[in-house]
Amino acid sequence: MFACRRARSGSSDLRRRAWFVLAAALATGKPLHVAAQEAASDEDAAPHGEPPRESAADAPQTLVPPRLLEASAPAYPEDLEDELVEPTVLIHCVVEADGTVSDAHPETPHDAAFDRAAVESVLTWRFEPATRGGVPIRAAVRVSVRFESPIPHFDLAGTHNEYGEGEEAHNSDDARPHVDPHPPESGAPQSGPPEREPDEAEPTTPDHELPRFSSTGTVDPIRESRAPRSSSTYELDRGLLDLAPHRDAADMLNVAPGMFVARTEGDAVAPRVFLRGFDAEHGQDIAFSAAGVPINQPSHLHGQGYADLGFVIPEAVRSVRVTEGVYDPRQGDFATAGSIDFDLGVARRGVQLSASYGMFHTFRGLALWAPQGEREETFVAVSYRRTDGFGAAREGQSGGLLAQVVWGDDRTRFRLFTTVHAARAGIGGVLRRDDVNAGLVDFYGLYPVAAAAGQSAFSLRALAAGSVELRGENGSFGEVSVFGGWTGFRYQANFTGYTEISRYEPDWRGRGDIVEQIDEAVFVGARARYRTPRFTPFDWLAGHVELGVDGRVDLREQAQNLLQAPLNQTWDQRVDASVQGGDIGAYVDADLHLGEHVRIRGGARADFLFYGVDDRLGNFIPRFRRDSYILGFRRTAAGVALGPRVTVEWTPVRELTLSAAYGEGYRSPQARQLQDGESAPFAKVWSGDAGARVRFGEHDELTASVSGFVTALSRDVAFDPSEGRLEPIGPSTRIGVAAQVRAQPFSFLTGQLSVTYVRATLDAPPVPTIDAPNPPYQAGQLLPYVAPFVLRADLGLRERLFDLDGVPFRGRIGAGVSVLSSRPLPYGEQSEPVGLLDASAGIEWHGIDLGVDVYNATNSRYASVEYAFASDWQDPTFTNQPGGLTSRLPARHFTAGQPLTVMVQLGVQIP
Amino acid sequence: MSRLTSTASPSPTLALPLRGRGSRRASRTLAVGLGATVLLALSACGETGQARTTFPIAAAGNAPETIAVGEWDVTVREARLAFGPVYLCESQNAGLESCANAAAEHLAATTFDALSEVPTPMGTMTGTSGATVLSGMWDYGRSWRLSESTPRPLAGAVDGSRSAVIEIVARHRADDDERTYRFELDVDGRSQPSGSTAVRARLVAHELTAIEPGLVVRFDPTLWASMIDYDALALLPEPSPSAIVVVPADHAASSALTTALTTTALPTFDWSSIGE
Repeated sequence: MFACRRARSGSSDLRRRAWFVLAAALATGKPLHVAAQEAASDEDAAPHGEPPRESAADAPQTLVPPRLLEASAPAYPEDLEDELVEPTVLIHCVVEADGTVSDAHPETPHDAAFDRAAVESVLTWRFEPATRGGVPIRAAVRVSVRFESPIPHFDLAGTHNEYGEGEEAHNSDDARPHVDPHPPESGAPQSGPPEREPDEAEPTTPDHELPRFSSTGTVDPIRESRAPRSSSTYELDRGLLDLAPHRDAADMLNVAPGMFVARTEGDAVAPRVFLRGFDAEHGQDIAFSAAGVPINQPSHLHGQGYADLGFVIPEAVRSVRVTEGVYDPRQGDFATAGSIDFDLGVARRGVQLSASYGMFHTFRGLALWAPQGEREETFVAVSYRRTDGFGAAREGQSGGLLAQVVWGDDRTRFRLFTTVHAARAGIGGVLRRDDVNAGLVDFYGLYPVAAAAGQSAFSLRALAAGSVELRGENGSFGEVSVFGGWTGFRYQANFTGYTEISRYEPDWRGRGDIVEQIDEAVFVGARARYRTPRFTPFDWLAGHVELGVDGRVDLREQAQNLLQAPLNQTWDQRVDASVQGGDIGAYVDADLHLGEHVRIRGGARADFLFYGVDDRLGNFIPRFRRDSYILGFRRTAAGVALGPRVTVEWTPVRELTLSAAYGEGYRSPQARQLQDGESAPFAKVWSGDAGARVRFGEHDELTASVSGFVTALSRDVAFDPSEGRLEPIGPSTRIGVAAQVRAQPFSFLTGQLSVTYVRATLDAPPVPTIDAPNPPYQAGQLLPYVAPFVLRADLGLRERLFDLDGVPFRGRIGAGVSVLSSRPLPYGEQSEPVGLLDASAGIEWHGIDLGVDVYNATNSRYASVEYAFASDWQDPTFTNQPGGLTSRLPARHFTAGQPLTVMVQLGVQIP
Repeated sequence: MSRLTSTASPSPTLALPLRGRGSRRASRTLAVGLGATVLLALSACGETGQARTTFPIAAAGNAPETIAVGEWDVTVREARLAFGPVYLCESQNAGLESCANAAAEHLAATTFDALSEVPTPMGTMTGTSGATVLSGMWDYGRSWRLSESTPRPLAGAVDGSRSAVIEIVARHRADDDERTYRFELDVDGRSQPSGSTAVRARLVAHELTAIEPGLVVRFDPTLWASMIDYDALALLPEPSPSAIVVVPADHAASSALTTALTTTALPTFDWSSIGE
């Protein structure tokens, strides 16, 4: 402790020194290292910055930006001193004609304590005011306030970390001006006016006409390009994600409005995701990415767009961006319901070691190293998990490595990303409701037959990616990234018991319906995009245009068989194929500001898809003509998907943004279902959204959004239990409304509530086929498996309780509630509604964190997913059982959700 | 129902530093919006286009009558038939794969008097409303599952093991020779792959409704009897004068009756109240 105190005392000088450097940089508009040198030699020698991009001297009345004269260091919030974070808060403020600062507010609210400290600090700063023609005037400026941890660590003065979504770098090598010293560009929009009444001294200068000295030079252009496209875009930051416990990264997604994530088939199979009226299954309707690298796997045998999120270590997730709807031209394949990107980064630097142990002999260990002095995005994490499972045949192990390194300066930034992940887990499988109700099998049990005991899954993945970002002048940037990897997947599950008949030899019957699926893939891809510098053709118009291309190639080997337990003898072959897939996409995206209140973004996207399929079981007809040809059906197909996307935003006042968006997207076809020469039948989606976002409070203590949406899909699919995969069911439409409220009324209390209602209906029944002569769907019926009503609430308290030995002792408690209404099922069945409560509590002192996570705190017996189909689970050895007949009537089946699970966690943070 | 015993919903309208009338209006709008959402959600529950439906099923026959078959006057004296299980299908052709999910089913067998026009209640049939029945498949008291090697008698089989017991009196018109033949039939799908039903048939289309009055399956034993070659039967040795001749299962007449029951003299499906 004494050493710590001494270190803190010593660090204050360093901090003052650092702030002096920063203040100099702010004043001069030069990079920090240059400012530091000048400041060290002659503080007053700093000129008024670099030449403006458009010479203001040519203007009739020369406009001179404000210059920083005095800047006090912000007070690091005492409660957070041992957090080891060094955030940068971007502040918008007005420099008055007398050089004082007013109307300061954070650009993007994050931690209220840091926001408040930054605002309080900026309000004490003094500027030399901006002048027009030599006359002092008010001016809007944007400054960045960087906090440094009072606890010293390596290279304190020379390196700094980022905070929240601030992408600005402040390393000594890559610092940028923090007050743009340039006058507004000709015709630049005067957006974001302060609300303050004009000073009496300058009655002719209303707020909305204030010259702005910000934005183009300081806003990270790549970050800016990701601005929300509709009122249905949600940024789930750690402040929100940490309110309730989350078992894994996929579970974090439950926080997003309208989303429910169910892990129905163990740790080795991708979770099943429901979003805003879509049963996205294992990812078919949501474009997932992590660190910008796409996760969905086209034409995966287990489900189109299969997206296994197991490799994402939750502690390494900085935020999750959920875009519901397809309004951004960058959204490509699978973004029919929306897209989700995991932003990877670790704010708390140092080494994290944690272990948790709990019910069902579940253990999880984590080692995470976030090197001090590096960017938040730089980290290495390793995790391992094992469990006996909460029911029969649910044991599992998984482990993974996740690493990312980002380096460079403000203009050129490099990123390397890699992951290796493996999992093997048992699958409890499905149970019939009537059997459970009759007491024949336990809710968390397993049918006592070999074909039920042999269910399991295995997955293995290696992925690597790299990217280069180049930031240019006036908001321009370019980005090139490449990625590649290998995935292996093996799955065996039984949904229907003993109902299948071998197609290879029709006399082989009733040997158990264990469906084995094997899918191995190698894939490589690349993305590139470029955004032009900001252009201002008219006084009322300014903007950027972005051009992008992306492409990927997938080579897959697939097999699907029926196995007879317990020796896994193959008694039928359903799929044996090689698939080659190619996707080349291109888009154009314009970002236009019309005046100061209206923003229009949009463009168009086109994708060209190519497929080659070697279906080695093609043309197979059992018992017929076997000697007249050799099995196999090779075919190729191609198609084009083209769609516009546009968003219009109107921000009449800072607190309110109204938006309307329209977009057309697509989902690629399952290659194996294509015919030779067929124009690849994309699932086309038409998506519309209108809504509003509001924010109140100086630190956005209350934010809310409400949106109405309509989505139509040309070819929907649904789960077919007999094949264990998705099959087409026809066109569908969704109409709904979503509302979200997030509040932080006090610094220690944060909450969120979201409600989504959607009416999802089938527009036309599927066309009967030989394989499915009587599909169980009717026009106008509610889409199966989709909950019309989804509610999510999160609430958390975190407060410094007292000091122990001079070190803050903190406590935290939080909870998350998910409620799903009854879900319609095929054949007129309805599932049970679901209500879940997860809670956590913990204490933290001196880098030691002890906590308890409780999942399903009410021990609700719930079905994570329910189905309706016919099955026969009678033990085949009981052949003389009276009345033992096969029911062919569709019955409700379910996969049991996780019961009450308590985990105790101990973590250590080493600076 | 899940047992959600406690909830923790945040109170977004706690003492926030809100600004003025606009914020209050916004809060009110949000509250109204959320309320409307909940109401909409509740009103949508249960609308799926289909629903489980149950209705009574009964089996009936026709009163005996004497018919002429070649040189013979034939009268069915006894006709006890076990009927069930029954599966009704939406596919054009019933079959294990095409009818993997049945539109309706009755999973039991019941022995009834096929010479009685009064329907014999079999129990309840369960199905899905909105489904259109186009075909059906059924067994006669003997059935098997895919995993079984041979069909087995069900609890409702005739005399505990048979599909049907039929006695037919045939009287030769020329020489007034009268004989009584007894058929003890096991009609099942043993000649087909395991799990197959004895009968697969197309039916007159019928859409199941939520309130279905009932289903009466009516057989005509006299029609069965008309399909037998009584001249061939007459060649069978008579154990004693006036004794009943038990026809072997592998005799052509037994096969003819089996064919009648499974193919050529199928019952009619009358979608009406069983008149209990």
